[in-house]
Amino acid sequence: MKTSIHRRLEQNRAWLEERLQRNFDVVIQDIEHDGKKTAFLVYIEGMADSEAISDHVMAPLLRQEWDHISASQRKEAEDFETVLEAVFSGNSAVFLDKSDKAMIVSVRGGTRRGVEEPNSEAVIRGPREGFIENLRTNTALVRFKIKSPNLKMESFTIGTETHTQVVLAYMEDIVDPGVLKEARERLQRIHIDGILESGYIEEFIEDNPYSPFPQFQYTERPDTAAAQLLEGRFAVFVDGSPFVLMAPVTFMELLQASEDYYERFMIGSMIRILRILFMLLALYLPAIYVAVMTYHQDMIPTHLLLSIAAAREAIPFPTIVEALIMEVSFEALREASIRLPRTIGQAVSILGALVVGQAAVEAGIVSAPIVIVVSLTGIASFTIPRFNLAISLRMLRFPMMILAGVFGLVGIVIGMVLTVTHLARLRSFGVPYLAGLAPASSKDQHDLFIRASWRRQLTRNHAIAHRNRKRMSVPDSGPPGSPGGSS
Amino acid sequence: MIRSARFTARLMLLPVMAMLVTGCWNRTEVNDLAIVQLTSFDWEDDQYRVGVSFPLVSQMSGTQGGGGGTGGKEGQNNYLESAKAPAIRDAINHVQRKLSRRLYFAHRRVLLIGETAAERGVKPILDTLSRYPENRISTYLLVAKDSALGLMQTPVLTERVTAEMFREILVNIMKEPVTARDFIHAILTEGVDAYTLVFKRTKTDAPDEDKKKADTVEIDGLAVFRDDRLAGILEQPFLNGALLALGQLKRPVVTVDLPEGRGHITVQFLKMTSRVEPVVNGDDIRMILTISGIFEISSNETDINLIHYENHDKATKAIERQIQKEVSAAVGELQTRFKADVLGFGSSVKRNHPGVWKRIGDRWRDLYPKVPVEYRFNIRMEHAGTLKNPIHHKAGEY
Repeated sequence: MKTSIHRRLEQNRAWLEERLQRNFDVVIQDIEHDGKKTAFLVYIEGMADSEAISDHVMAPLLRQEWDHISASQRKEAEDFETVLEAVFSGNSAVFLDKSDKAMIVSVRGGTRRGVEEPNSEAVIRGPREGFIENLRTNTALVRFKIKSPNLKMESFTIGTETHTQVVLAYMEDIVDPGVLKEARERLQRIHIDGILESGYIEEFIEDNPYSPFPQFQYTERPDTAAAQLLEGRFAVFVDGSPFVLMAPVTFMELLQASEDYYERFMIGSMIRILRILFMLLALYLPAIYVAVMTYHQDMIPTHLLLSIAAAREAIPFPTIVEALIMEVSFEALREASIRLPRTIGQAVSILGALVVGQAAVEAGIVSAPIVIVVSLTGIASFTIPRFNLAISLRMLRFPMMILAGVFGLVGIVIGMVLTVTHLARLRSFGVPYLAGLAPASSKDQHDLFIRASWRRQLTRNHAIAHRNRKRMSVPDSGPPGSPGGSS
Repeated sequence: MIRSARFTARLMLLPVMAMLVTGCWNRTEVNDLAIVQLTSFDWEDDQYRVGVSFPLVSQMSGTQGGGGGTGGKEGQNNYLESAKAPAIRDAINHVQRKLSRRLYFAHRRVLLIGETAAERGVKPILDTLSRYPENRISTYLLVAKDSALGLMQTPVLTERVTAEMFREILVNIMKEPVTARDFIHAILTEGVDAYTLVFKRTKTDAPDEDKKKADTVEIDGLAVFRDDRLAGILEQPFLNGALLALGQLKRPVVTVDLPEGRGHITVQFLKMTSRVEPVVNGDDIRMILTISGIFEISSNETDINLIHYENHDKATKAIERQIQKEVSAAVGELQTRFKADVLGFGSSVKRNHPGVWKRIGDRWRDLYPKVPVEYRFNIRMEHAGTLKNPIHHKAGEY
């Protein structure tokens, strides 16, 4: 199915012109010598570095010094398909007269966003660089962190039209070979016209596409990616996306932020426990409020009940309706403010806070306690460091509220049982989603609810790093300078 | 995929099943509840009069309606309703019929039982109470001097709801205020009689003008029961002694007159417990009531320096004498006047000497008034005070 390159220059040119017609960004540049066309080169304006072309390709060509074409990479192509793919990746192809080979010169260029601080994962303490849309830069950013030949990066091209380059990265000596094999196979199984974001890949290769819970972690931060690679996970880089996918993932891990590991361990642990607490609040608080207010008024302290009753006195809606109205408006408010330019976004939040919050309470349409509950839930869902988990919990709290509104606490228990059984069944590349909790593992407790001191983190996560669990060979040697050593 | 569809179908079935299995669908909004805080039981004209009191929540909050300021007018936050019927349940139903909101008893704090109703016996009341889980038996149970309804109607100014007034006073005075559960327990246990506090309606003691006197409630003694019937009310002067004997007084304060020091010493007990112990010698039964505790000096109006060990001892002895005076007077009243074994002498015999109890259990009511009681003390001073000497002592004078 390959079209081989002809020996005659004109024929090659004609073939290319026909194939690339009506493509204004394709440049076919002839090189003439003594009034005779001796060569031509093809590249795409904007993707190739025009300065490099004129200095390192055009100039030698004009001087007829073929061997002086200097570029970091040079290779030969024998068919047009290879040529086209190379050209569309930003390379330049040089065709010489009387040669049935084309020379592919790497002159990739074009403008891409520079490395910036990641927007979606800001930290107070930690590296400030983030992934960008350029695959090569991204892989390099990780390579900067892990300077080891054990870090392998396999390349795949996915997308029949987009030819998107996808890289599967892993630590050869740590990753579970079974997981790796599975990941490779799943990647190869994807047949789609185009991959525009890592999200496409995620949906194709996740274990249970019908689960509300994310089975991948994604990050914009090279340090997070490097940490996960060292834990024995694999990472998937997708060209054109600043988000790197990582798997296998566990539920508890989605509640961890990179800063847990950068701050001192006590602070990291405390914040982690706080986060777990608020994760539960994000999921259950509105449901519990609805259940208790409509079925189990006896569970509230008397004075609190009287206060809430006083606030609810003039409210026309049942509690469940009130809660749903407020929760839905909160979701809408959040959605509305995300995509707006920052200046208008502020206007929306003021509108939301004043109109929905204050005015609705003052007008007696909703009660103040439900506004408190909704705000608390909102805050709680923002404490979850991974957006994909936060959004699935936010989604799940609606069925929870309805269950609570229909069955009270019994409904919440039903919902809880269903959620937990589902979570317990869920696997991410064969690793139990609740690893550490179910199956419970005493060996992973040093990095689950708390983040133990690095001195104590002798092993990697047992559920993920099957093969090579040892992180440190020297057990805790005590604080430097402490008495007790051989002196 | 088929498997997952079937799984989903099964999941859907679960709530449906729950709907079928569970009982009534009892969703209630708080707007439809009358959150009862107080209930009164009276006996009048051969019928029970049951009264309920619940706060009008719409007038309670500062946020709703005319901002700020608490209701102002006395008692307007509470709504009272009552009804009469030969049976208690009926009376409650009659009350319910007159209300737009469902009576909700789960938050009831206090039960008030009128004197006459208590004299008739509290069993019917406790029975009605204990049959519904919504009625909590951890509710405090009190006896009202005269009419319970009248007491319940007292508009109190210091608390948002009247029930709080009773509850807070009780909690401040007693270590473990008597709940309906304690009451039931006492009635069902052999050799113990039930007791609780009596409250009455009164006016504040402050201004001279009658108009300015506010309504309030106060403790008026100890209601002493025999079986489930009110045997009588132990009046104010004996109350302190009785509560001391029961070990129920929270942080008791004792004031003694020390003639040799020309003044009073007031001590505050930080801890006080009482223990009843029987001494059985054949059919001869004696009770030993031991009061132990730690106290500190809360005021010393005398010129005795309590730092000195002999003074220290003198004061302790005086306090023991004072306590014994109060306690023995109260115990004497309980034994001879009411013949009610509130202190549980009988049950202590039963626990320590079950064999003896088998012989005398039936005769206990007759034996009880004649049981001699011996008092023992185990009290000590924790510290004489933060000042080295009483302030009116000259420095350096010992």
